[in-house]
Amino acid sequence: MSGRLSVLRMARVYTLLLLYYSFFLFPMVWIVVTSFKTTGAIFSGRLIPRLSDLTFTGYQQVWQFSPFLTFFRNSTITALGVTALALVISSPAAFGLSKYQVRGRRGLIVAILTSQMLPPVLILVPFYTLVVALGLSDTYVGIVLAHTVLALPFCMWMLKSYMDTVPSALAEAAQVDGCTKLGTFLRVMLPASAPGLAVAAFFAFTVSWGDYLFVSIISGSNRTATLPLYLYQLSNSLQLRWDMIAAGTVLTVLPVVILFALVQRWLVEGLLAGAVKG
Amino acid sequence: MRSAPDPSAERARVELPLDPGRAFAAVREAPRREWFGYVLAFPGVLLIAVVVLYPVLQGILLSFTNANLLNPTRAFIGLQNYRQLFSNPGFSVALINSATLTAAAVILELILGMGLALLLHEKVPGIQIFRSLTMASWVIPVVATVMMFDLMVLPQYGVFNILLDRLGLKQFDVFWFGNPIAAMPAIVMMHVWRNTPFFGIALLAAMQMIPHELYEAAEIDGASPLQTFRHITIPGVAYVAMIMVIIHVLWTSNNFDFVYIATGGGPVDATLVLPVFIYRQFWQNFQTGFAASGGVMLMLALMAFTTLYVTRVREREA
Repeated sequence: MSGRLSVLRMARVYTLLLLYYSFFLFPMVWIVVTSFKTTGAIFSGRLIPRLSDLTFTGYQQVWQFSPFLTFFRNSTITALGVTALALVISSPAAFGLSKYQVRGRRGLIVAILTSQMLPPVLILVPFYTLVVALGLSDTYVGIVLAHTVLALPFCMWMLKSYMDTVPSALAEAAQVDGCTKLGTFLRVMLPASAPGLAVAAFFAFTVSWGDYLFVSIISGSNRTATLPLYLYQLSNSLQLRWDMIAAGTVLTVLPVVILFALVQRWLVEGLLAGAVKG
Repeated sequence: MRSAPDPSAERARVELPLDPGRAFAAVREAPRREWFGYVLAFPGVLLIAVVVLYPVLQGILLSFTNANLLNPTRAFIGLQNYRQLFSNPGFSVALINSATLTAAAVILELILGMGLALLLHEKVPGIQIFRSLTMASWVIPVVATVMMFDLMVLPQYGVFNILLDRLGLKQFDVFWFGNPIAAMPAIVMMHVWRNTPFFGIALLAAMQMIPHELYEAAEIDGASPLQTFRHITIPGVAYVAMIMVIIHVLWTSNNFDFVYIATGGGPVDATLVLPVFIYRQFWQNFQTGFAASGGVMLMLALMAFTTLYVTRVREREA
């Protein structure tokens, strides 16, 4: 094969990349730009903002004069709770399914996969009844439980696929060296699966951070509602403040983007292990 | 979770990397059947059983009753909900809209994702930056995506409409989410924007797995780029493409947030999809049993699709 690409071909590739990524990145860039504009500038029809169009009013309004911080706190508590719970439950299960011959293993794996097929709106109806019966409506526990259930099958499946790639010899040798079963799991298997765990954690976090459907049902008030509800309320209020909506959106996306930057190099591998294998 | 820490775990420190000779001596390839495996798997399996299987079974049972959020008593009414469902005009509209949205979005995602994968497969300098940026749209919350597009399709002031005006196409300057003709394409566009990168990255990974010798052999045999693509690349990524299509058909037809937040199912039911239809029956009309029957139909449709699709692909490969 010719080692270097011809200049013509490179030019063509870059042009297409630029074309695709400008469509792809534009919505994000545009909302960031808008979040720093005055309301007047947003409704001016100017594509390139002038210096006098720029302001922090949107952020100031969101931060100081709206319940943003309450929602942000709720989102953080919920998402961290979901992440922790999903990891604590899915990692031992994944280890068990990956390295032990559990009776009915195949059936379990099929069940995990099929649960991905179930319409959330079908689960929603009985789940709501369950949450009410347990007295968990409008509580963090209720929302954390719902989101954990949404994230868990994929986390388990992905971690199992990841642990399949960790050689069994590692765990076996640890046991030969006198490590207990639990010790093998905690000290050998978990560290060896760190990238998989990072991706599972990230997945669970984003599922919780982004969910609207379940929060809208379980959380009856703003006491426990999360950021998606905040943005929905802002965008459905009588007086549309686009500077605030844009600023709120940017602040909602920011934590996810930071986490994405951290796990990005393992994300693709992890998602593919979870999605494609089997 | 587990209360008392195992004291013996403390003294058993494992040194990595392991001595390979000793490690191999200990290998028994088959996973062992042991009680500890059950202990490990139990909490996860229990939670999935209780909180996924129970609601599904409960949902199926509910669909045969006249359960109502406002009325504590319920009675078994057989198939009446299903009969009512098929005579409900909203349901057939939602069914068609769901199918249209899913088909349009997934086909576009597959085609664009294939293009993206081919682009990202090129070994030009800096390609790694593009690859790592790609999944960004997939990880951000759906509600944020809706806000971004909402902002861009505002009448007169949204950037899409500003561009339309400048191109002299002022008659098309409308609020897309509020227009019966433009609303569905706008929803499709959001799905495509979010999911194409996942297709691209997955297909790219599949392309990287194709043995290099195949391409070299094709080049020696004088195959055209199109022939190489048709006979090497496409079969090489077919399996991953199939999995991606299934996953995205499921995700797209089950998705509630995109449509509900953007249009609420409107205008005049132009974007009414099944999840939104079901949600309305439940949360606005309080007809729990009727809503459940809609959910069961959606589940059955998806199961039928998956089974049919997988068998068709298997047949064609055989």
